[in-house]
Amino acid sequence: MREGSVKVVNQLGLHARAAAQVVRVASNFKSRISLLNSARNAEADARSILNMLTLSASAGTALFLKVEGEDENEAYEAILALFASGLGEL
Amino acid sequence: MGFPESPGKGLKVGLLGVPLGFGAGQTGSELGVEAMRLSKFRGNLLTGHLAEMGYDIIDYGNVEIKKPVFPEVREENPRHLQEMIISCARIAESLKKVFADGAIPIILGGDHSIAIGTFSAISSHFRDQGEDVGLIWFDAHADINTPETSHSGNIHGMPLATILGAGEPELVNLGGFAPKLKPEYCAHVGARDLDEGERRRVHDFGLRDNFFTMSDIDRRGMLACVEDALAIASKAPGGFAVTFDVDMIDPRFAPGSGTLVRGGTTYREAHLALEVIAEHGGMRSFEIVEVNPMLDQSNITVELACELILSALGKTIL
Repeated sequence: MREGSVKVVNQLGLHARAAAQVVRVASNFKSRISLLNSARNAEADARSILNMLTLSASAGTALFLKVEGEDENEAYEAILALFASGLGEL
Repeated sequence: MGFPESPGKGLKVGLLGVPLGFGAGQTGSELGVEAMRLSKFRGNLLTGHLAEMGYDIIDYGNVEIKKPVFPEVREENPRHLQEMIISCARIAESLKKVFADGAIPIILGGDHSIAIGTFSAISSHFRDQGEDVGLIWFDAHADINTPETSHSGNIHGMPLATILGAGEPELVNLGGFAPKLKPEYCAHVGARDLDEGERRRVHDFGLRDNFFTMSDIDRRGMLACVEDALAIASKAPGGFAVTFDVDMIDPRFAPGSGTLVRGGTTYREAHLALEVIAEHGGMRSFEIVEVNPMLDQSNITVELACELILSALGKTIL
């Protein structure tokens, strides 16, 4: 299992279009990928847009990333890179 | 007054999702149901908060909605009429179960066209007991179009006219009777965006004094307007239902909805209105509609919608 922290850096937070980017990347892997907003005690499956929208992650929120499965290393790096790029909105 | 430990003690609420979004021009409100069910706010889910308030919760799941086929047949007005008729029948069936169990229905929408199905079912339930039921409608729009006056053909602009007995006959006469709502028991709060045909119809129905527009709220305050709305709707012997479109609230506080209009109420005014209704005690069902998580920002509209449900059911600050 790979665990770490990602930060929502894009101005509008994790809104629908940004969340769709995460789903798109997460769907390329077999691992179970989840994101946790500990401030709100809310966890989401990275393959569900709706799930992620309920994390209420605004700009600047740090999310806990958990990846578990056969391709966890590749998936972990890909999600990390995606968040670092501002979910395609920087 | 003692400490109101559990306003819901001894009371049952029945949660019913109506994931119908095809009555609107923009998709996404059908996802409001799941978003409200899944969201954690103030450390708990909606059902958790309701349980804390002492309510006995029965979850009736979601009504199975008949979805339109895409690409749709153009030039249809109203749009998706057959799907709406079938879906309304299913809504009625589900609500019948909720009432049979003696629970207060808490309906999660969906766009506002669902009010045709839900209020028809509510009205029919009270009609069986020989009583009329009132309605308080919170909305930025009057929703009092008919296919003749509607520019878009979207049914979510027609529900109030339909239940008052004007519009598409197949919807007006659902359940074999019309109108579902007598004008004298109808109150509307928060209007600020009406089509020309709608303004005329409000007057034709004799409803000018039953509409508490944003201008009225500015002049008199939310409290006076809601008290008057309550006085109108609670005259109905069966009590009253409440249907709440989140676009009544200003887009600053509720951006996650499909037909936003500036100049709405504040966050607190929305809560106040429902707190006053809860204090009255005559509310027979509560419905919240037009929550669109796809258009939301940081889930604030979804969470506000959930909080409003709690206020309507008697949650107080102290």
